[in-house]
Amino acid sequence: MGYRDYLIKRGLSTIPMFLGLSVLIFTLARVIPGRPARLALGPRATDEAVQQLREQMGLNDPIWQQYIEYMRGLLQGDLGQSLISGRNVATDLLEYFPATFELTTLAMLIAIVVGVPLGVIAGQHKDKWPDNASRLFSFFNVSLPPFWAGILLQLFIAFQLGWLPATGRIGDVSPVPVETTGLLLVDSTLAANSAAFISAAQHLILPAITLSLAPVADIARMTRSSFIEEYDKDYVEGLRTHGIPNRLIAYKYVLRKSFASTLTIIGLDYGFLLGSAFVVEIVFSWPGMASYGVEAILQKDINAMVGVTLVVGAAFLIVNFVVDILYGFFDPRVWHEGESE
Amino acid sequence: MTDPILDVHDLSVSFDTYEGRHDVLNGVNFTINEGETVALVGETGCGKSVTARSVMGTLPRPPGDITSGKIRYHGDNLLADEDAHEQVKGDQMSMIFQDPMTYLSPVYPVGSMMADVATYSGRKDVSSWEILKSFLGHRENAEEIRERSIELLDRMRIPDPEGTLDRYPVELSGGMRQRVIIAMALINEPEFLIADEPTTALDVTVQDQILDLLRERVTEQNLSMLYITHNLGVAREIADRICIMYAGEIVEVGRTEEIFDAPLHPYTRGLLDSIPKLTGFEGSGIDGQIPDYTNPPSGCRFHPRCPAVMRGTCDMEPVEHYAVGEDRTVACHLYEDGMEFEEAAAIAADEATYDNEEPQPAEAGVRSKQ
Repeated sequence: MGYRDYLIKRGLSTIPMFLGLSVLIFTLARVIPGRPARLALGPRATDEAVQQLREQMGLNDPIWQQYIEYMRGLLQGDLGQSLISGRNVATDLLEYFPATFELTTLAMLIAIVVGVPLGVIAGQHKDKWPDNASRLFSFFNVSLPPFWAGILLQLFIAFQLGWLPATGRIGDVSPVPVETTGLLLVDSTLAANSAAFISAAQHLILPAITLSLAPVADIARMTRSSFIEEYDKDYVEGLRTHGIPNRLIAYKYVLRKSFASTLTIIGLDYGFLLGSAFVVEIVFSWPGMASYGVEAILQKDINAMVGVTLVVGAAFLIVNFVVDILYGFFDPRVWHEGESE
Repeated sequence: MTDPILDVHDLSVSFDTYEGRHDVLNGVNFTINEGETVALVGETGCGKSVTARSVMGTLPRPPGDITSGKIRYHGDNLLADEDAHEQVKGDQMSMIFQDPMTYLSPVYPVGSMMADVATYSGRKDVSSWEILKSFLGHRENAEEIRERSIELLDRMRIPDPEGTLDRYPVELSGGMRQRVIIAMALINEPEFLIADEPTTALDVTVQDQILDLLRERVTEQNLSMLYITHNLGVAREIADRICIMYAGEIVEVGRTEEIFDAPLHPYTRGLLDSIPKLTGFEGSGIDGQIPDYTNPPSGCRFHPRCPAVMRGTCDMEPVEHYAVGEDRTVACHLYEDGMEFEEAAAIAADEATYDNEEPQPAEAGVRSKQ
């Protein structure tokens, strides 16, 4: 089995996972109690009007039929109408998803860039002060509720020091970047619009840091423990015996081998971030998908609920597919034939 | 006679464990001359690998602690300062290991690891930029290193040396991996090699090939070697001299033929007796086990297992190394310093060989040190 075959196998296996996910979400959204049509039209609507809306939404059909109908729409980019906004859910998501995606991705990048070296340093100095400092820092990060950390950052950095903006996604800049991907950093770079880029970046920093606190801790602790385990291996002693500098051993050899478990955590945390971003989005008035999703659930806006959950699920699947690709890169034995050990 | 390349003098090493302090090495002495192969032989747990790691400077400290002694390499004491080891490690001294399955990084092709040993050996630190370059496989003299690696692998009789460089360890058999490990140890052209049971994990046939290759390298490059093994048969094939080790002490040193012809120390005799022969196993081995290092036996550490034990002497008085004849030392109360070899051999022959009976205290008691 070559690397390419491994990738194809992994890639294909995401399709049934996505289908299974869609069945589950679609069914759950419809079997949980509540009357979406009644909620949408309000208490004063007549029974006939409610019946008519139910008919129009296809809620009177058997579930399997509704599902097939929904999937047919999905293939054409139609996710059904949102009961709150009155627009197509796909249109809503196109507006909100890039903001959340930009935020969570940057938060994850921060978490990796900070967490991995922190874990390696802690692992190299097991039970010495750098390890204890990193442990304390991680403990602090995990136990800090994000809404509180966000408010603290706003208070000190945005209001007291005035270094960064407290809320929103972009300031008053002209020209406003043309929307191509919806990711402001990417759009402004494409348009070579430096003013917009700087403003967008400044708005991103605080929410991204807030969101990255918990994954930084996860990644640092996971990297530390797998690093320590790997650092005991014979080949490390061998390299040291040959007089190879410790930093090269740590970062080139040990980290690469122990990175697989860090990758697993990154994949899982990314899904967690997509789901939990809404607290941060609310604190920072971030126009993202998470707050849209929460609103949809509270209002029992079933199409929006299914749409948001599917997008989060798909993003999660894609991220984990990328993680699988990277597994194969970091440890060739994953895809190698004649795999032993 | 010229100075020895390696002179280990009175080396003592302890380990701190939860059960207490283990005095694992207790005054180890031996020398290795230039171009000479010395085998360090003893049963598992007698401190062979600790000796090797102390010489190589890779003893984990803590828990290990070198409490006394000198390791002189070309006359310089390697224990004198921290940097001394770093300077000779990899460049002049090199080491090959017991288990070829675990001493190669599984995530890099073997050529990448060899190139790193060739490039970064003996360097104190590397910059992040260099780590990245090494990771991406860029280095200044990549061509030259690759050619050198191919040549070495070819000398180790690896078929398709060029292809092997790009393979991962999982794709190679145990024998091939051990050849790669030896090639890697030789890439910086060291003059002193430590081999820590390099054939123990291999099939007997492969073991023979590896020994042949190793001997060939040693003679061709005039290497000096410390060869560690528990197998006297292997030691006989490769070594010029043999040091027999028991419970952290060297008990007998002599030229290989002499050790086999006339073992003096009762432990050496026991070891030789324990070698299974094709004609059937007749020896009885040595009863008992290596003693506990937290509370080693008083006097001679071997006396509880010794068939020739002399009560009142062996369990009381610490043994010294007695020079017997030329180039032979033995640490046993049966002998005296400066004794002629023939006389010592006669005493050895006189001693009861290992039999199945327990050592007889009464009989041992009347025997006295001459």
